[in-house]
Amino acid sequence: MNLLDHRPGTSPVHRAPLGVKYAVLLVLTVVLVAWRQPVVVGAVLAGVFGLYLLARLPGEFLAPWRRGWPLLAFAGVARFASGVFGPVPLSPLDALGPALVVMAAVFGALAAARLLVITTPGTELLDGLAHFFGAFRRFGVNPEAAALAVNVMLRTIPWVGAAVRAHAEALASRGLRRGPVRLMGPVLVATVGHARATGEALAARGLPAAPEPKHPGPDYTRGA
Amino acid sequence: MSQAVPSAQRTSLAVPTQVALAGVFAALIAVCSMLPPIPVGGFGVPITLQTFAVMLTGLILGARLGFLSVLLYLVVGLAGLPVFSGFNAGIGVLAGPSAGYLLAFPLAAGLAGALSTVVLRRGQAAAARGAGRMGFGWWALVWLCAMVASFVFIHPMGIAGMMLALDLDLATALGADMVFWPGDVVKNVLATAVAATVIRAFPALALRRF
Repeated sequence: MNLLDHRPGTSPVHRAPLGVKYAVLLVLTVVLVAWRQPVVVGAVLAGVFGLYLLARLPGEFLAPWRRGWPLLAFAGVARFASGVFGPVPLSPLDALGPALVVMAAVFGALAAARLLVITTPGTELLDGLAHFFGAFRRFGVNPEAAALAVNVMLRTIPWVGAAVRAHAEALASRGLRRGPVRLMGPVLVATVGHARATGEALAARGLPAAPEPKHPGPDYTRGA
Repeated sequence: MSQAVPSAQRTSLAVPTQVALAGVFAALIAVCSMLPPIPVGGFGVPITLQTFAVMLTGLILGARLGFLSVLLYLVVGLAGLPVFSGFNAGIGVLAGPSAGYLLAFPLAAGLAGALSTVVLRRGQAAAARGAGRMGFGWWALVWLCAMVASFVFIHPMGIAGMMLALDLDLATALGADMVFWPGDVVKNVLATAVAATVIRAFPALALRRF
């Protein structure tokens, strides 16, 4: 799980239950999408920065800008263009304001989401996910199978990355150009083969556990 | 594949195999989202392989398992694991410009899977009667399935997402979305070509019930 940059700590933000963190994040995101007043967006941004302070990680607040600036720049440029060339044309100066508000809103949502990720250990996120799947049991979801699929996914990400690299090197060593089909065709055949082998390995271990029968029959394995 | 496939032989995969395929293809989408964008064509418009992997998942796994696999990717990303492009993670992306696209992915994979299941059945039956192998025309139809799924779900939902999240008017959002159209055509050709390779290697994958 080294993909996650978890910043351990003991602050109230770190110690808050995961459900509370998700609920706060969801509310902040909905407010940022639905309520685009400069005052509201500014207040939410200040609130998110307050949470970073509370988590004693104020230096991390700007990280979404460093990583995600192309996305934010795209958001700003698109909103600016929509203001200048849209159905109600504004002067470029007037269009600047809404563009900045949109950028601030997108940034605020990304920063809030990142705070949850860096203050929660990866294992806790996975446990939360398994718990979340359990809520859909009545809709026919097999929570054990879903949680197992998450684990298969996370273990396979490095494997697929290595397969892409290995096949790219194989092409290069034969002096072939690295076309997308020439690369991804063999990678995908290897990937499906890997999935079948994984499926057999799971089956051999009796995974995923069969769902509990509603009306268990007599247990013949027990002695009379 | 010289024999016609009787419908009785169409069976669901074993549950562990379904779990493994869903997990592995979700991992493939994650890797394709994280790979650096590849410049394509004369303009050097960078395309990511993310939608390529989404469509490929639908074409190879079929409607049900393809939908579930892409949904798994989406849920894991929304939970906060860094599997979206640009290493963004969590519910926050729903306020960003890519929200509509992300939410459309499972539906698009499902539709591409459902349509391509029909095409693959007919194509394999025709191949069994005649040449023994599905011809170019059948694969062109599979490509069309992917294009239909793109234009029914990915682009309309992507445009709606940008209008909502960025407060854009329809024309600007449509213009921003049209930037992706040429790349989309290319990516669906790639996905079809790779799906053809995989289905030749694992013919049983085409025997799915949607």
